[in-house]
Amino acid sequence: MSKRKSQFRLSAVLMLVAVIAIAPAWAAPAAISIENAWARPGIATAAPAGGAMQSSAAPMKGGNSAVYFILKNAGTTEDRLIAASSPVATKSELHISRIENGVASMRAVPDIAVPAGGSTELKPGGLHVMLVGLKQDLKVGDRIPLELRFARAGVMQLTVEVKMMKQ
Amino acid sequence: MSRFLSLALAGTFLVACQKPIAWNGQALAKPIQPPELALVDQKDETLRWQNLHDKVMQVNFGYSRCPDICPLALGHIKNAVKALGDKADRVAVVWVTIDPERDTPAYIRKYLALLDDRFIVVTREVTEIDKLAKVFGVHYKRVLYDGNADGYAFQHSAAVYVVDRRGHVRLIHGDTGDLQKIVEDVRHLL
Ligand SMILES: [Cu+2]
Repeated sequence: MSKRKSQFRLSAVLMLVAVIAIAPAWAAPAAISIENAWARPGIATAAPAGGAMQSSAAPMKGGNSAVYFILKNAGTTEDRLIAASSPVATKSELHISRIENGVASMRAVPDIAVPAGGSTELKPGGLHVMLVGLKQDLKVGDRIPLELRFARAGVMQLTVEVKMMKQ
Repeated sequence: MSRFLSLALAGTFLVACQKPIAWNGQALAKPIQPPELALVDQKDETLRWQNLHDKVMQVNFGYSRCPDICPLALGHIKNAVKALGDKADRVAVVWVTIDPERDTPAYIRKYLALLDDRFIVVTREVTEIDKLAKVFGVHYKRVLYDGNADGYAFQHSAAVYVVDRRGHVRLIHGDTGDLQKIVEDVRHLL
């Protein structure tokens, strides 16, 4: 009887641990929010009739796109966006572009920090999630799934609309 | 006689008045005339620089797999054309791809369908594109970076070049973000 009771207690504790591990957001309720997400249009591949010049046997990989949004952190601790993924791209990378001395370049960054009680904006000409090797065309009005992984907030899923640049 | 003199004086005055235009962009001391090159556009047709004469051109170099800065610049250029209103058709936008290996005519056609069909894209012949880049003083370099799944990317000049109606490269705008400045310069050349 008492053995059974302690078993029950143990499994209840294990379950609680499991729930916390799966949803760390419960421990610190929704510290991160994501606003104004949008993606640029992009194309997966060229039309098959590419002309005679496309003699190389290598298949043409898909094009790229970029996703932008504002990350807000209502918590009291800094968080970091550490990874992104989307089924529409071969790979999703965290990037920053810049123009220095008139030269444009782009590089991958390991993470994107969101300060406690503050926000970080991913926007054209700066930080972006780059969708590399599109598997499907992204046309204006399309909605694509995106998964973001944070160091503290864990995994968050969102739907991103494909738009032309706001001006 | 005196009427002739006053006309001549008025003429001189007009010429003198026309001279000092306060350009917003960096004006080239000596405008550059690109040589006739074997350029190819996105329709896979020969593009003659001379055939573009009579239009003021905004020229920019980039590549379609650059999903951030390049469409940002193209968006600014597009808005600069739109801001010209009924004079917009007197301006041509020429976008030169520095990645013709992947930016084939067919690929560019599809890409443009998403952005703006009115751009003229120079593609296809890398040797000719190199010559054109040299004329404009554009530098670009193929780069690899950590974690890049795309194979390679480019570092490249981000400027917008303004070409006058005789096909001479006249101005360089390093900051494509300041729309009004480009529009003012283009208006002077129309
Ligand atoms: Cu990027």
